Amino acid sequence: MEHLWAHGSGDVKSVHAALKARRITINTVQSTLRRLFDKQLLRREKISHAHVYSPRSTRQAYHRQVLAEVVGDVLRGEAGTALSAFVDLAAEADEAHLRTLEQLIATRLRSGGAT
Amino acid sequence: MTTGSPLVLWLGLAGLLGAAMIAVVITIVLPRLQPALERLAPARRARVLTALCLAPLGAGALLMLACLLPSLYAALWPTLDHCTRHADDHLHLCLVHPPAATLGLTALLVGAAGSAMFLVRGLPGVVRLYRANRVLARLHAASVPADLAGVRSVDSDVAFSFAGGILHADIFLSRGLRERVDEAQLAAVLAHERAHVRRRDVLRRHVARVGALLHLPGAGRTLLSALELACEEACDAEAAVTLGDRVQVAQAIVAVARLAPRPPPAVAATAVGFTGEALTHRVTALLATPPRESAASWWSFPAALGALVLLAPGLHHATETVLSLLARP
Repeated sequence: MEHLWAHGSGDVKSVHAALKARRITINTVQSTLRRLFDKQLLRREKISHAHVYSPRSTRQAYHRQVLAEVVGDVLRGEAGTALSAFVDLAAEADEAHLRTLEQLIATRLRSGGAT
Repeated sequence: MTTGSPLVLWLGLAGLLGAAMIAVVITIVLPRLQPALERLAPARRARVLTALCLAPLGAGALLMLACLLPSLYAALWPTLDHCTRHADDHLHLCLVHPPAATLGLTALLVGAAGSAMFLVRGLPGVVRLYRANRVLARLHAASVPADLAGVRSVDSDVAFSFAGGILHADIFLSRGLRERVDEAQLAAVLAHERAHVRRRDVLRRHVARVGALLHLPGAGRTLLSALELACEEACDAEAAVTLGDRVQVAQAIVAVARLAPRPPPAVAATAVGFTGEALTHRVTALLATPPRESAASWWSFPAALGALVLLAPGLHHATETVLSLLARP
């Protein structure tokens, strides 16, 4: 994805040539690109005998999408067992309840101030 | 001496029965114990509740150890070997002389049911933990270190902050929360989350959950809910000490609760009752005079160890007698 974001588009050969330093085979690059296409992250166009792949969205848009998904997972409680939130993420504190608590705090501040 | 079922099976059965006995005792005494627990300082309450969650597991393990201790004594001082005084058909929980008795059908059923219950109740927790770790790993990758020590910034409009991670916890703070709270409230939030990280609360809750698998379901849930609240209150109290102002922390809790994202109905339906209560508990606890935090008793561990060593022969024989009833006639 980084290579395609930087260069706009590329076929299997050009991506493999760019990633040569990682010592991965051309088959790995081919299957990875196909998987990214299946996941709707890339679009492809057949030019001559080769598929030319290009990203469907910009890097920023992709990161925004990933972040929105993961924050959604957190708010749905998917990570609930591995975190301690300041206020319960599944909280639905009603306005009247919060106002009562604020009145308690105000009363305390009037009577004795902060401690 | 004839050879019966392997010692490890007998010990496992002894541990299971010991754990079940303690689980039943805790279920019976818990309603009377709760008012006393609520009077404890939150940090101490969290320690006691963690110990109660682990009590059946610990009791089972200690009973197995107590059953083995007499044969360890005998290995060190052969004159203490008492197995030769037993009749051949008596059950031996001994490392030197293997048990002559064979597990009866009842024992096999009890062992299988206990193990199955542990696995069936534990498996969903393992799956949830796996999913949670994957979500946190993705959030870690999607966040960046903030200009605040130990904090990762999440570029999201939704207002939230939490300490996430089991062995190594990070504090995640969203842009939405940071932009909508003032300096004093942010200081309270961060002091609270740093207290979670320092106290390793996420890890503590996980350990407690594993222990609670051996409790009866109702008691396990009650203990875990109370532990959750005790951990939050302990972090509130620690944040209040750090900031020198308990009311400031109470104000931050209410301010952040007001900003909290509205969850999907399915999630809210499972959490709203406890959450409302928890908020009230935390705020009123901060506004009240804090209970005195007593120092940990340094002598409790050596005392428990001494008691185990002294009681081991009695427990060993009592367990042998009970398990003999479960041996094949």
